[in-house]
Amino acid sequence: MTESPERPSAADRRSNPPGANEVGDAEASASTGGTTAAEGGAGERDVAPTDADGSTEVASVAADEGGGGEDDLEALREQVEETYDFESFGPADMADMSLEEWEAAFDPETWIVGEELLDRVEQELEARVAIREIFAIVERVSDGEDRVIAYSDEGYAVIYADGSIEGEGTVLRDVKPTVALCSMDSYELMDQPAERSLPEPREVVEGSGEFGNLMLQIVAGAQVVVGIGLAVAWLALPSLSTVVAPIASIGFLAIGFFLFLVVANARLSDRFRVEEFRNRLRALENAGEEWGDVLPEEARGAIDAGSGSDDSDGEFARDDGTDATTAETGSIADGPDSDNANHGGDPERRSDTD
Amino acid sequence: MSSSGSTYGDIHRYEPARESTAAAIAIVLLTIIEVLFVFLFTYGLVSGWGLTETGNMYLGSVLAVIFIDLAFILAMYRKEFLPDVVIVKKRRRKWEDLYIREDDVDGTPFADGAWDHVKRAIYPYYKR
Repeated sequence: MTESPERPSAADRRSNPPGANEVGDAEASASTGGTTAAEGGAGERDVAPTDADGSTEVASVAADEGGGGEDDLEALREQVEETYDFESFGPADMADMSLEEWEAAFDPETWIVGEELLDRVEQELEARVAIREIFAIVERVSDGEDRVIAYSDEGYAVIYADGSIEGEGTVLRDVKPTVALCSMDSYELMDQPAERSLPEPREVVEGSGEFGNLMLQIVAGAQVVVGIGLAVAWLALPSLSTVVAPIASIGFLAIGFFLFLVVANARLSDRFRVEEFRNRLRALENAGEEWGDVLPEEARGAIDAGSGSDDSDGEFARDDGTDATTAETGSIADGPDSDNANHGGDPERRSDTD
Repeated sequence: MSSSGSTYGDIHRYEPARESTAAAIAIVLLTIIEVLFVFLFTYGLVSGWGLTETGNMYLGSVLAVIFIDLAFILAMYRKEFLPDVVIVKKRRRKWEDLYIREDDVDGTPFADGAWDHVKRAIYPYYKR
């Protein structure tokens, strides 16, 4: 149900005639982007929240423009409450529901939006970055329109006050459930973290302490010495005729060898991982320069250019991790994605979003 | 399915080891015990303690102490002396990923009938 909080926004701000929406997401976005570009880029946002189901807005618009249809809505809502058992509501019920019924049952008042939502999202995202559940830089941008942006080398996400999200890549994927949670009244935010951002590349020190390695090496050394000693004793002393001594010797040697291997592996992997992490943080800085200011324009460009849906998975693959390509690579948001097409929301990462 | 965008191998967190003082003292003590007992065991084995009944039991206990002590050393080392690293790995398919809809909960049958199952288990390429 991660999509739910975005729906009221779509319903509220959509002012185009319903016919325009039925053309499809891509063309609708192109037309709105063209007509409303002067309004501070309000047009581009409409695409993201609606995701695959462009037709949802049609229903909502119809509901809004009904004017005197308040009573009808109430009646429909009651009818929906009767028809469906929301205590045990499954995908099958979801599939049965018509769009009008869904819109009627959905109450926009239940979600937190606006300034408060952004505050909550900002705090929550910072907390999640602090525990590294999300890897991104989080910023609050207030010029023009209030919004929270999160970006990394792997993508970006922009969260607007009405709860709509746009972006691409893994950041968008990770941020989405957070926004959904924050818009719920019952969700308690995580505590404000002490460290508000990711570390500086230079501050990252190589991790494993040499002290622990030294201790392990002493143990390994003792094992190896004893193993060799036992083997020599078995060969030299006639009193050690049983098979026990060589077996113990082999055992000790094996343990010693294993421990040395552990230490070597720790040192080696440390060196590589530290470098890798520094590179990633550097890439993040570059991503910031590239995306930090130009984000809205960039996003608009992506809307205009990338009208098609793109389901390929390797889209954002950047092996070197150093070069953050622009947002124009793909369709905005995640397009008509299979995840959102089925009404069960995305079953991917966190079950607590349901 | 869920992870679009290849981020495999990305490092999300890299924090240096804690290396608290208590852990340092503990691992030093454990190391000393380990080394002592390893040499004690070897000495006992070479001097033939194992030939008497109690001596044999004693040697066995010493060996047990060696291994248990080693286990604690490794646990301590892993917990306190290695960095805290979180790496993106490929998410394997889980059961719940396979069947999105309730109707599909049993999936597509692999074969029809028990005998067919047996045949396919023995020869996987049987009438694909």
